[in-house]
Amino acid sequence: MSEPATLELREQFATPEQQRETASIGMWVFLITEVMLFGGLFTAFTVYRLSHPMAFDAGSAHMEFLLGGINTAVLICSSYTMALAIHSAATGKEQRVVLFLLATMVIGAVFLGIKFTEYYLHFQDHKAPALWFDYSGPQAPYVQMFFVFYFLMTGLHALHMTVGIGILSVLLFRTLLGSFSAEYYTPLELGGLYWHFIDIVWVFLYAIFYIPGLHVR
Amino acid sequence: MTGVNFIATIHRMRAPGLTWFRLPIFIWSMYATSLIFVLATPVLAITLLMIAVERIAQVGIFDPALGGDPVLFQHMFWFYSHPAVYIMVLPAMAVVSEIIPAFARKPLFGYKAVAFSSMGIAVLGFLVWGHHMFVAGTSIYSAMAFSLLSYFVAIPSAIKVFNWTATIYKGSVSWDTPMLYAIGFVGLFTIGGMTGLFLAALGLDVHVTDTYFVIAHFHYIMVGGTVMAYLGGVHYWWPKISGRMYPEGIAKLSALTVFLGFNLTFFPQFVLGYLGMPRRYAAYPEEFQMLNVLSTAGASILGFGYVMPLFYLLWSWKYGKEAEPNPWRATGLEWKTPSPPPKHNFEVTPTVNYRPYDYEAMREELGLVRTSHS
Repeated sequence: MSEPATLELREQFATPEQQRETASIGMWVFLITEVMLFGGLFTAFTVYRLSHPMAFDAGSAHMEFLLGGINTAVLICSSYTMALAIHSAATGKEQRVVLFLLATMVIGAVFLGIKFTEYYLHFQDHKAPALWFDYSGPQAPYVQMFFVFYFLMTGLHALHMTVGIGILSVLLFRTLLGSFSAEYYTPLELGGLYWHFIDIVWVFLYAIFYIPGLHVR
Repeated sequence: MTGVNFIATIHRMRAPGLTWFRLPIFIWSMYATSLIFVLATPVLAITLLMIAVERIAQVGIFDPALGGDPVLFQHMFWFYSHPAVYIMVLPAMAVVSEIIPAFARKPLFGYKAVAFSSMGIAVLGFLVWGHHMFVAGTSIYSAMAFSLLSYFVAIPSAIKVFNWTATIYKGSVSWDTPMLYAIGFVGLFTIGGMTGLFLAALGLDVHVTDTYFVIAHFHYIMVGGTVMAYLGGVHYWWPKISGRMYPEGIAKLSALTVFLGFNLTFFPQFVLGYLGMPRRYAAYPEEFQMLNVLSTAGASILGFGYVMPLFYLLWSWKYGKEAEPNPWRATGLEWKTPSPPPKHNFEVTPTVNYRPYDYEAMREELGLVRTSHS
């Protein structure tokens, strides 16, 4: 084994504590920009949902409610394993960090798998705007708009998931190299913050896209 | 990303002893600017993404032909684009707040008021976007609310103008180029700000919407205000950036040229707009010719004024007189290190145990104070 990992103190910082706090506040501010990014979509969705409630409910009735529910549970599990990974890092159990990071990545990939299965089913159902969209009921343009927002928002979320898995793989690689220790695991913490953030976004997406259609079925 | 960087740095990486109220106003303004970066820019990004999806996939989001709502696009666009003008003008105010104390040899009047007014502008800037949409079919009640909130922006702006003026009052003012630009900023920004109030008034706005009045107002803030301040800032920190002094005589001449050319270009446009000349048209009726010719002449002078610094600054980069660490005898940490600063800025991280803009202490340091008076 190599010698235990120590902190890489960059030259602009005076103390390890200062470096950790600065990195942490930077991550939180970045997450605020992400909130504003998704917030724009949520706002637009809300505006159209309020002006066309029937059409949006009709669109929501076509959601794969069961698959979406399973996916929500899957993603919450991944948040749990991510938290376990950080806890293991804080207590200096590096092998467990590797294990839990791998678990988080696998669960994240399962989420994406289920998500793309849903996309495929929507496509077969002819509910893919711009590619193949058939809807014969009333207010068809607004039902299509529901699906536009559905694909846009869950697609952007899936993109964030993919980036998240990329970040986790870098963190996994650095853990294997022995870059982290109980004294220094800030990158793991920050990666965890990002991961939890995209999980929370999904919970809101599930609430606005899947649940309203239940009473229309 | 820049906003994230600035905010994290300002919160966590201040020099020892540099408390929030010892920060230069420049930093306060950049902090306010960064907040706007962080909160407004992502909304523009997502709006552009929606537009791109709409155009590429031919699906309805904002296009009324496809069932979308174009007014929603306007809301989302202006939610970014109004704060965006504060992104431009707040750093300009920051520069002016540094230059005026340095050349009036006095501490900035009302430091805390100026600092908080920057934050006030950042916050209020998010609440006024609707004033761009008075004629876009929004409800009269939302228009009234946005009109009132737009008036509120005048409060922090006026606080700044009054405090700059009070700083100059009874100062020992030297008229170097940065000061000329800064004074120009204060005057032109005041005109721009006042005409902004005209535009925030619903009745008048409907009259002058999409006329040259709006063009003139916008340019008094953005060019007469912001660009003047940036030019002042370039001259003020030029010795620090390049390690050389710029030629003072021709620089003063260019500052005056810019000021005169600017006013000649844009002041006639206020009159044109009020008389009803719409913007975005090249042709105009005969009675507007005189004012349009004046404006064109002014633009030529303004252009000449802008080209001059380009040449003499480049020239001075190579041939200018070598600058000392603190040519303006200014306070502020950047003047306590050589010009241009070495890679690590300071040999030892400095400790700050004094107030900002402490020009009285500076006078004693320079031996300019009569110590023996009874």
